[in-house]
Amino acid sequence: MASSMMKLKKDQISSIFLLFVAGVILISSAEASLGSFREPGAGLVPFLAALLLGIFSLANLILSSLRQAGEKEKPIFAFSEMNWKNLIMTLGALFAFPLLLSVLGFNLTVFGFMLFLAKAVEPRRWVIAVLFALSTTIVCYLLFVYWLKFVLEKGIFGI
Amino acid sequence: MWDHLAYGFSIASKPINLLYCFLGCFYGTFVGVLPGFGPAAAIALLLPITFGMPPESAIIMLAGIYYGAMYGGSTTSILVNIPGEAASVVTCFDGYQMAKQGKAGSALGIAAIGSFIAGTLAVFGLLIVAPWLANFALQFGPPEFFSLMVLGLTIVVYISFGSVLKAVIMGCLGVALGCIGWDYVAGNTRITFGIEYLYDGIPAVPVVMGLFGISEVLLNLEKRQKLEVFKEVKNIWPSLKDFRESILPILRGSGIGFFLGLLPGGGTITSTFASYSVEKKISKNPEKFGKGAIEGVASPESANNAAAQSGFIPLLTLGIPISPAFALVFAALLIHGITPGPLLLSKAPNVFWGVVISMYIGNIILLILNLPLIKMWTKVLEIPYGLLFPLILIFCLVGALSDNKVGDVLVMLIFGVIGYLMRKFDYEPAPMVIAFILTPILELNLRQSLILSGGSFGIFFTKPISLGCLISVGLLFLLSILPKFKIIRPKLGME
Repeated sequence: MASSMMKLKKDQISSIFLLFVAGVILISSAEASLGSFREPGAGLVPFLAALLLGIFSLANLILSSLRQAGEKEKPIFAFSEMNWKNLIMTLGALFAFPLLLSVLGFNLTVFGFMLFLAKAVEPRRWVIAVLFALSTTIVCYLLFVYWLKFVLEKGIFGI
Repeated sequence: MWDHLAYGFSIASKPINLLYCFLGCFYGTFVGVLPGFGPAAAIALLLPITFGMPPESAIIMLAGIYYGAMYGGSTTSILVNIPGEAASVVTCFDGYQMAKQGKAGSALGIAAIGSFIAGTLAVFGLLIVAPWLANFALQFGPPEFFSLMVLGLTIVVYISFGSVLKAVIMGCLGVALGCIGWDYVAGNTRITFGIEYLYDGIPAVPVVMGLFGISEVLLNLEKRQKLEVFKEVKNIWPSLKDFRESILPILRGSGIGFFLGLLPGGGTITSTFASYSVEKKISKNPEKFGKGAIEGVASPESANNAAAQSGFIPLLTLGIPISPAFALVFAALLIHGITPGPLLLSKAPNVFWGVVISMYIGNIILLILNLPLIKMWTKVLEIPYGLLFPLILIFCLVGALSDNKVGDVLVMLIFGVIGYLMRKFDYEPAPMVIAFILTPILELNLRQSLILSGGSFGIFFTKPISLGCLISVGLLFLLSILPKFKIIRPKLGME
């Protein structure tokens, strides 16, 4: 019972979002030529996929609304039960990684990223965090740059 | 056939290929042991490393990761009661109960021996079925391939866990995403929003890394649980009585796994549930199941290993990946300039026979890794997640940078967040990924068929193989909407 109650609101939110996505794809694919069923243009297959996406999302929305019938539900993100600080900090570090790469270069960015995760997200002693970050940076350099010859950013410091 | 076997051995036994086979099996077992990190993410993580390898070495290693993960998954199920990966869920039922009764060693031993027997039988099955299927598939033209892919996608949707409607929605979204970029037939772009990066389409590897790697880490970070590991692992070799009770379930599990592994839609997972149900139904003591029955470990573990290897048959002979992990191997083959399908056997026999024979060698490597070295794998469970997750993330980040495109990293991160939200909202990523990867080929075959028929859709109904596939699609559709049959589907995943 509890799990079916959980799904009601979830389905409504996700269906509305997917309807929006379907609309965007429909408009965008219609801008490419649709052609005909006998001679499909560039936009026909994505147009049909988006049309079906929209129809099925609408069906999901209607079905979930019919099921709801005024029942209360638990929140999708139960902040009191989850470690959301770790989640936010990790996401922040992940999105900062590509931004810092061109400025700091590969080695410094990897070192900073690992140090941050080892120190801020799941805190460890400074010595352990620095050693962990340093050893990972060296392994990444040897594996990806030295052995696999990845061409990676050197940044403003040239390292 | 003996010529092919000898040729396969000559490829697979090259020192460099033996090394890659070992590395794949070792890494696969490691990933299998770790809860919350599946084979698709593991393959995605190492895929960029394989770009510089010879194609047969690359696929030998990726295959090793996949079936290695099936071996390793049982360790966590038995010792921690948490499946190392989805195909080991069933092993928890009786494996953990055996561990609680002080029989962890027997459970681990029979899981490894069953996996070895199943893997070996599956390789022989593969040797017989694959060339026959590839020969048969030579009759396929664009209409047959189109209908076959539609059937494949339908089965993926039908068998996926949870709501069929949501799986269909994910399939449609995957098709739309797969269309992004240049349309080489019409010569213009679609759904690119003027963003130059999207002209070549969304790259598959960062998408899978995000959906299966980053999102898993985010989910694990959100809610960490302390693992209680059984450390007393004694008598790893099963007794004669254990072996006598297990041999028939192992053989039945191998057969079920082999045949279900041929079907698109996560054959490894489905086969474990199916084999467990069969054992319980035919057992003289069904009440033993769930309370530490050795058959409940032997059969599903054999089934998932057989399915992991037979799943290569539709991939290599028809060009149809049956799960996201196979979709990545499919992408790897394309990256190496090899098109999976009926012509693979004649155009790249080194890849086909080398990979098939390497699986047999891999099974021996895995038996050694999983029996005498089992204590080493239990230590893996003691690695703090706080040190493990940054390593997974950095490998994902740097792996996505293999083309030195920051856009690939952003794609991976965006799909990581999407994957996290999909799980929060109970959507399965597998139908989306398979549809996304198959769409360019599906669309090409649709267009080629329409050119051949002068624009008539009748071509799909006049060719017998194509018609057979479309009738199967219709039947599956009916099965999923008719209330009488509707209950059959969830049973596979819920029992």
